[in-house]
Amino acid sequence: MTNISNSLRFLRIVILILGTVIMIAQLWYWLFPDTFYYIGLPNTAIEEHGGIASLSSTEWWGSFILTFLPNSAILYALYYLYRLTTFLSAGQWFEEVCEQCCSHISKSLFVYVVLNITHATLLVVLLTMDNPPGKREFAIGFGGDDLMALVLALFALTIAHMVRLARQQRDELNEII
Amino acid sequence: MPIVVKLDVVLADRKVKSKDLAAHVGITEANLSLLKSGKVRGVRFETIAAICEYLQCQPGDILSYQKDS
Repeated sequence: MTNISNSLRFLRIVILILGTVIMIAQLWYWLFPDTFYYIGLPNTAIEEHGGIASLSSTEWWGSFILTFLPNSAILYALYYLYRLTTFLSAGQWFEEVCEQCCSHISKSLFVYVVLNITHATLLVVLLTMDNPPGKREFAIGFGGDDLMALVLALFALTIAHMVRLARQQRDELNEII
Repeated sequence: MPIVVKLDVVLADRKVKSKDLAAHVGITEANLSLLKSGKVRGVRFETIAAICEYLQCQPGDILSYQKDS
């Protein structure tokens, strides 16, 4: 039991670090793009259109919001993962709150996949909107990150279903003397 | 529920207290009370065996089937 508590505590620390890194990376890239190149990969769509420095104010805010949307879905999933570890620490393995947390994680990962695909498309549309006719672009793609998030979402959905079945069985067993 | 629990009748016949039976079977008096009133979803074979052993009876003495009218 102590090992489980320690693992959950470690997982909570990892979640907090991940959440902080996601937020810092997002802000760092948009506020200090010159130094960001040393720690992370820049957004390819923005780089192909001249980088952050060449963006107008509207494009800057539009692109910032568009790139933040998938990250916000990941942060939402991490928040519920953190809550899940809190409930698990309290021994509420098969309670309804755990099922709801898994369900929220699953939904937010599905939303992440959709936002990750659409944000890239909208970003290209936004960056080439002012181009003359014939030079405007539209691109849509499905990457490895999206596939991985989709698999994780299905995992979370399955776990939510398992928790619900386990709770039903436990409740039924509690009525047998 | 067509299964009728006649445990209270057997307990009265044997002049056995619910408290003593519950202690022997290893269940709480509250659960034994639920069992007597038939307000349970099921009974383990283990529980029936312990009750029969203590009351010197057969499962049919404490449980019976009555078709719903």
